[in-house]
Amino acid sequence: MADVKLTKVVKRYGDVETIHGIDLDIKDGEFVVFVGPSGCGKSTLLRMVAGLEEITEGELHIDNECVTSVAASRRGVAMVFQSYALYPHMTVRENMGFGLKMAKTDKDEIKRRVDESAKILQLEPLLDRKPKALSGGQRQRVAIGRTIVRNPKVFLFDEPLSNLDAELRVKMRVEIAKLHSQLKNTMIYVTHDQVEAMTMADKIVVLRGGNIEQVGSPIELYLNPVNEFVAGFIGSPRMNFFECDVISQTSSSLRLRLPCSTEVELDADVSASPGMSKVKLGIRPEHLQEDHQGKVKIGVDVDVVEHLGGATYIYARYAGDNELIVQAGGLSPVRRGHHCDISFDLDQCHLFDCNGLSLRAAQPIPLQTEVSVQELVLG
Amino acid sequence: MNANTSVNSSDTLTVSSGRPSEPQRPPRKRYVFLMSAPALLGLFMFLVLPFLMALGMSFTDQRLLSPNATEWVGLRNYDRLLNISWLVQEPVSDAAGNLKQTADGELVYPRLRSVLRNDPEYKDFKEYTHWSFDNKRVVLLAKDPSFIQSIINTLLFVILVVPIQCGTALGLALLINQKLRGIFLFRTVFFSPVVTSIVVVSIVWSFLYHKDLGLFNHYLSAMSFGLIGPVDWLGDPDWAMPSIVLMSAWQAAGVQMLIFLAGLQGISGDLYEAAELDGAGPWGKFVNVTLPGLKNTTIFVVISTTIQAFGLFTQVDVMTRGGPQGSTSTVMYHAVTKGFREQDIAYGSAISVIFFLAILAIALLQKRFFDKREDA
Repeated sequence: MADVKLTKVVKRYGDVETIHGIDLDIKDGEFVVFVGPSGCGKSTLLRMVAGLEEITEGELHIDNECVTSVAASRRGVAMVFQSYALYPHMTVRENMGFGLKMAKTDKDEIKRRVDESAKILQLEPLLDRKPKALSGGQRQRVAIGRTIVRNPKVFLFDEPLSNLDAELRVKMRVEIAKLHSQLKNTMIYVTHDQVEAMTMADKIVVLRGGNIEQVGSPIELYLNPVNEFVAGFIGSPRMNFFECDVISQTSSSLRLRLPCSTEVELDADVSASPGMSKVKLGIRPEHLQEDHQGKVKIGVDVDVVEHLGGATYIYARYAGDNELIVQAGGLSPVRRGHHCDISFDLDQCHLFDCNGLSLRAAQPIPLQTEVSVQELVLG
Repeated sequence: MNANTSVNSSDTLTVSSGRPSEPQRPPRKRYVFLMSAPALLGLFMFLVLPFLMALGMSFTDQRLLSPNATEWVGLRNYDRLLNISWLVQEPVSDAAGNLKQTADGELVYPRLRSVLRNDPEYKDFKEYTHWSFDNKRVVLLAKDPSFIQSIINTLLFVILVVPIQCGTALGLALLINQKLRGIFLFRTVFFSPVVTSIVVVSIVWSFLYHKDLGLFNHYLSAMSFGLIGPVDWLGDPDWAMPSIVLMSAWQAAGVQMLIFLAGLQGISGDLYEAAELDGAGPWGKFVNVTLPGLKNTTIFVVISTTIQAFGLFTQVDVMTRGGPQGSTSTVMYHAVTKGFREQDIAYGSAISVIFFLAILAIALLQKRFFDKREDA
């Protein structure tokens, strides 16, 4: 049982406040990903949980015990660093056993536990090597192995995959997800890569400027982003936004004029914000179709076409200088310089007011996604 | 250089600028030679040539000012320098076979000078030291006892100063590696003895060490309520060398401090954080992160400090002139005394050559020692 609970956690460096009172509950065994652009405070927050950064205000509970001012080594956490932070003069075995050695654990016990976690990560043939004789992926595994040996209540990962090449990153991503389903410990994972967040997390925490923007399962964040920032951050390629004029509004619907002068009517929860003149319409690239099946049609000028084989990304301009990305299935016949019609359904549109807050009612989350994305990833 | 040539060659391939690509290599070689020529010339003129001259001179009887022509003398200078012998003396006994004793009850031995003079085998030998052993007296002889004394003094200096100086440097580096306000001031202060002339430092410290007026004796006597001291720091054969060691370490540690500081800043902060999470305390982090991270720096610092320490001269020349009783004479001091003050430049050259070979050997040994530890 290792819940992690942050209560009004604040970080200040002198007069500069970087984390502005964060409340967060992480349940035992959950895989939580902190995600956000650089400088959003995600690493600082993780380091505060680890005990490497002091918590200026607020409280941190791990396993129902207040550890706000407990030393890092006695919080029952273990961390994987971006740089791996392996001790260069020690062998893999010594690296993995170092924490236990510092805790004055019995030698046989250290050996047993190192062997055990080496087995989990298939590190057995590497145990007598030094870090410099290992590849990037192997070092990463050793760094993870080192945390497993200590059998912590909470695993912390600070952008562990960003030093690896693309192929290895995908492989390690799956390995870490597997590891979580095997060990079932609470894990907190920091990344700036929303794909990593979407594929691994039980729960994603989107941060911006030291504040939590939204907490939820990957599908929840994808379907029902609470604001324009989360909508733009989650999903790849990113969501398209256009500014639209409001022609008229009732309490539950809006009549808008799109940039190309087409008028549309959408359901929207606008009872709280009467008298709007402009709103932002958001539509994901994968919800734009080039086959005219959607209800609303718009004309675009194609700038660049990227063929990825399974999908085609069309970068286009719409009604002047509104940039737009369309994700078409398969190999699209559209070419650069073409003018073509794109269609979409209003049900799949997101609507944000001038403060960036969502104006549409939350969509129901499909049942199977509650099973967690990991199992979809792992098959 | 490499980047340049590759860019140029791709230019000629793709753009066909008409520039001939053939004569790329010869000018480069010529430039390499041309550019390094001043340094090579300096190295040759002030290092290689003097050494070769010293080597040549060490086989002659050249003197600085002498009416006599220089002659080859073979290995005579080296013989004088390195020849060591010993003799064992029986105590003198009277006609009845009883051992003669002095009024203090000490045994009497034959007069050493007459023994050495009468035996051609011991020609030119002088006593270096002696000790008694089972009623017999063992006398260690050398042709130049003060050279032997100088070697021992120099070794003593090195053995004392290297750990003290390197330890001080590491300690200071750890202190000034902290992120504190005004740390730059401390760095400057700790480094300032290095940029002060060693002659000035030696003179100032001579005052500090003064038996009656010196600050050290005042502090010692004040702190011990008059129980300790006054110590004649530079006048007592037992204290003179340690005093010079202390001063030298203080003066020179700033350089090693900067090198250690650079080494410390090269250690990744993540390692300290990982060690912190692993439960290592300050000592644990020092032993398991700092020291291993400073290994190469330490090798360099120890070897360079050792070599520097072997060259001890100025402090001795200014503070003690080799005394008292030869207790601070060093190899370098001896070489300068013999070669210039006594004008026996050939003998001074021989000392320099031996000194060079000794330092070379020690540096190589140290390197091998550290290399072996790396493999282990």
